[in-house]
Amino acid sequence: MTTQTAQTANKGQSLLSVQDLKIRIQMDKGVMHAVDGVDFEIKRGKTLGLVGESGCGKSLTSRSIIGINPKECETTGIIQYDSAMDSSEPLDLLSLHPNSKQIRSIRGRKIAMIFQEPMTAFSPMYTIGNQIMEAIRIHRTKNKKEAKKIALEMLSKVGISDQEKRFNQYPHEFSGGMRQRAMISMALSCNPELLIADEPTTALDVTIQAQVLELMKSLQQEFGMAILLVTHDLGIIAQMCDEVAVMYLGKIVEQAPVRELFSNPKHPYTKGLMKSMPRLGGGKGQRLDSIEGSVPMPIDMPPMCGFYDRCKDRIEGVCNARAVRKTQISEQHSVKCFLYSDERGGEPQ
Amino acid sequence: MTKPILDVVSLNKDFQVKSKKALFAKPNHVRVLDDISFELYEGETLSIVGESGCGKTTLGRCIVKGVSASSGEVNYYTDQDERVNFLKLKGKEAKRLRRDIQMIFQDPYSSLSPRMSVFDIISEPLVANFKLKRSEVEAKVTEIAEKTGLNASYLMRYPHAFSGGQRQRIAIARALITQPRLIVCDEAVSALDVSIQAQIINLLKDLQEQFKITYIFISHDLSIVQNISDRVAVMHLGRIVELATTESLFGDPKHPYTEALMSAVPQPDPEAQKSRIILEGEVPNPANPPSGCHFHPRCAYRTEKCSQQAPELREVGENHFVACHYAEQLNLRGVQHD
Amino acid sequence: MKTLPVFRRHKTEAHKPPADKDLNYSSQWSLIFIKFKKHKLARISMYVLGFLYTIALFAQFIAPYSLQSYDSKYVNAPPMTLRFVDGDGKFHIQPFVYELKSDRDPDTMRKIFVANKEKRYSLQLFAKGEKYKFLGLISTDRHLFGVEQPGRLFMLGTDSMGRDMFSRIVLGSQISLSIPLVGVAISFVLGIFIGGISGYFGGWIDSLIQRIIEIIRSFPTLPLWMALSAAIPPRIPIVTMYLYIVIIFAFIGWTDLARVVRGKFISLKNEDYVIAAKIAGVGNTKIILKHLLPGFLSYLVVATTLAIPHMIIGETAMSFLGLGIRSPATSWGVLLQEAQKIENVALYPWKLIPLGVVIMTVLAYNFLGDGLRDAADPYKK
Repeated sequence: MTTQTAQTANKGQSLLSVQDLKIRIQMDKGVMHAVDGVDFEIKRGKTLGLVGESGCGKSLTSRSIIGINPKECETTGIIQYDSAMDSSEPLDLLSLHPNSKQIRSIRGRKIAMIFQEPMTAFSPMYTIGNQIMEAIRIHRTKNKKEAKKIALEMLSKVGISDQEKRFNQYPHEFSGGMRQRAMISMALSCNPELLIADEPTTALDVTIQAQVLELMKSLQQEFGMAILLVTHDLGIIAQMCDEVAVMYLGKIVEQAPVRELFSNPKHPYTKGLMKSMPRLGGGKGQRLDSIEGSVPMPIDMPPMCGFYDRCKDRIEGVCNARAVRKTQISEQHSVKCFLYSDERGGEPQ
Repeated sequence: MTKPILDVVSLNKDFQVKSKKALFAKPNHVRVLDDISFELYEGETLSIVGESGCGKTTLGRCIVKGVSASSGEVNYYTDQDERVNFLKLKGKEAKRLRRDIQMIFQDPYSSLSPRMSVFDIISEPLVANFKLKRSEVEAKVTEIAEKTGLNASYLMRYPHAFSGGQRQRIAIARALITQPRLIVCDEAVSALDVSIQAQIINLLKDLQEQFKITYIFISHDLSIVQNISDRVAVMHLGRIVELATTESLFGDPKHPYTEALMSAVPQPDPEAQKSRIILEGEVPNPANPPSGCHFHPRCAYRTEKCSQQAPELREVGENHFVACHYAEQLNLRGVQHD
Repeated sequence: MKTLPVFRRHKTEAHKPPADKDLNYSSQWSLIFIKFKKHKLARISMYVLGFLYTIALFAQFIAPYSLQSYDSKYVNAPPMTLRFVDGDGKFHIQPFVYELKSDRDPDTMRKIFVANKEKRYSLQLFAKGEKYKFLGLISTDRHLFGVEQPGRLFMLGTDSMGRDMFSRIVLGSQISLSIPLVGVAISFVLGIFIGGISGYFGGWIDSLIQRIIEIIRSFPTLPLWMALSAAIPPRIPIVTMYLYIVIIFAFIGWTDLARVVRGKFISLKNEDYVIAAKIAGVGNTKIILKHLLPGFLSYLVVATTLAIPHMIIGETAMSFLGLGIRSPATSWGVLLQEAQKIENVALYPWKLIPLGVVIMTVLAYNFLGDGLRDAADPYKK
């Protein structure tokens, strides 16, 4: 740990920066622009939340970082990864072949990932302990005894009691919450710099969700890794993240530090999302402000704001006439909306 | 609000689980619903909340006779104020009551037959229950479609042409077409995106106002429950542990499980105070429930008594029922209102 | 993935909305058809099968000779070649064959056939031949093709009794292609009925039926066929024997279908939309007819298609062993009996041609079944 901090001093704040990420998928009906020009940056030891509804491209974005998207996804852009574990130059992860040795040494070792459904992440044929040890032995130590020691230690860190017994159990013998803990322990067993968590608690009950979120937070404090948290739940975002990026239809429409975003949302979509969400303590019977319409499919879309059809504040002839560019509200707060852009008076291109 | 429309008395439901140990071994019984009793008043929304496996979905299905209960009564008050046990009814009388009690399911993808056009789906209960001319059916379906926000010109399409939110509107239209007095909504909005969720919740509220419908709203999401319901029942492992008006339950919970559930909901507010109650341990297995109070292994206030004696559901305040030995002594944290 | 509305509003006139707009109005069967059409191999197979069944239907007309006709002069004759150019290099528009002349191989002294270039017989369309009833109705003596009298045409050679292989393959297809259809039709009815009872009632009835199915399926098929066909009295009319054999196949075949039906029944019974119909007050019969049956009918079609090749192979195997169809009736299996002896195969390889036809048919059915299986659930992506 100490060496890591020492090296971090020589490196910049940014651990991972994504620039102009685009993912296209060829479909029967045409080309789907599932992710369309996404930029963001993850700072060392911080948590970035990627929030949006189903089909907005948040999962594809997170998966493209470690190159595990299906073959049909045609991905372009730059994903610059600046590891502090060694003094190497920043690396463009997208330029690496998805099966190359280089990306495999990063995947699991420096960048780990946890999924919504932990059952699929484990092979049903091997014991949990076996699978955690395997990860450790690939990346950390060849010594079997040492690997087991680390694995047991990790299991106890994620709050699994009776580790010796649990170590020899199979995934189906674990409950949903336990499996998620086991997956976290496997992901963190190699002490990664970045943890990608894709809807990590969506399949869990609220009380178990609270446990798992709490666990992730305390482990972040202990290990100092950065987290990219992908979720649809603004409540989880508010509780877990330092910075938030709101995605809609393959684009990041608003990005800000968490307090700023919740106290001063700018984009009509962000505002709509917050208002349409009933909150505990919001009182009984109060009418919810809903966003009308439904999310379109991003196939053959002309250059325009994707939220145009559902937006209450749309400006005809501007919002539906050209692509919207990012506007900086403050140093850390940016939004993609013509309401805040000085371009809106200009002629349509 | 004081006129009852339905009351449930000592409803039990056992599931048989085949034992794999021997060829002719007796099947094990898992008690999914354990002595459930409550009253439902006309025009109200009663929510049933709980975690997965607590039996809330089974309760909903037993009430509409989607699955048959093992024992107990579901009494229904007809428009003539007759009290009839729905579970005992057979033939014509049962069929008559079917019109009055409808259901909306969680997954709008599996609850609509992919092989029928939307028109056929919506009109099915109508055709099954009333003898109507085709033109009358058409008029009725068009009217309901408009009320539920569906474009009437799309009625001849098949469900696969619609998005999740629109499919749920179709399901609501189907439930409404016989003009029921009671609709059981089983996680009716959980499968939907946040922005669509709000549309459907508003629609349900509007329809309730317009048609004076009573809802049983089954959900795991406390934020939605607080928004939509008049009264709330909290279920844990087949039992109702707390039943009270929304204000009283959220403002002044009496059961430690209710308190923990509310505390666990992540608030969309970074400034919210972060000291929350984190329950230890896992949700117990319904096939092998803990002794005494089912919640005692995870309860922070447990005593010896809790593991030995199951608490009864008793009234501790006005219309506030709770099943906890120490309901009066505990000082539990509710939700602060804005 | 969920289906979402497609963003098309802002397209110009030049981009015409594609035909898939109509998909929104398509029922299950038209969706299945659209998906099926995309499966190239299955489509080709369908054409192949269509072609084979057309031949079987008009077999008497297409085959130049009948089952009874034989000529001891031409025993084990090789396939003839159709020619356009004669020995003098003269071109004839009408194709012709040379007369076959029996001879001896000078080295091995084995009987062989050589073409007698002196005698030419031209091929004729709608040639006169033996009398038969066209489609069993119209009495005629015209065949699709033949050669001038007294010439003989053996397109695929002859067998050890001097019978034309081509005619026999064509005529044999009537039995070989129809037995599986009738057999499957019987198993289909039995399968739906018994499987439906098993799935709908459940409990001990289900257990009982499942055990019976397991017992039937655990019989080794070959001895079972032998036992059953031993039970068929010899010297019975061909039609009756045909019926018996079909019943033997159906007896085994229904078990597969019953299992498919039962499985689908159980899974569909618990679908939300079936429960919704029940709650809506729809009667039991109507639920079965409107929700359950359409739900698994497509799967049943697939299971049936895939059951046919088994029956074709079964019939061929039985007849090959002399347990099934017996002469003078002919099926492909009967034809293959000649290929039982190794010297037959070595010396007269054209006797294996029926095998090629069997393989082609079975493959075509399997590909068709594959295509149907992919298309059967058009809502899954």
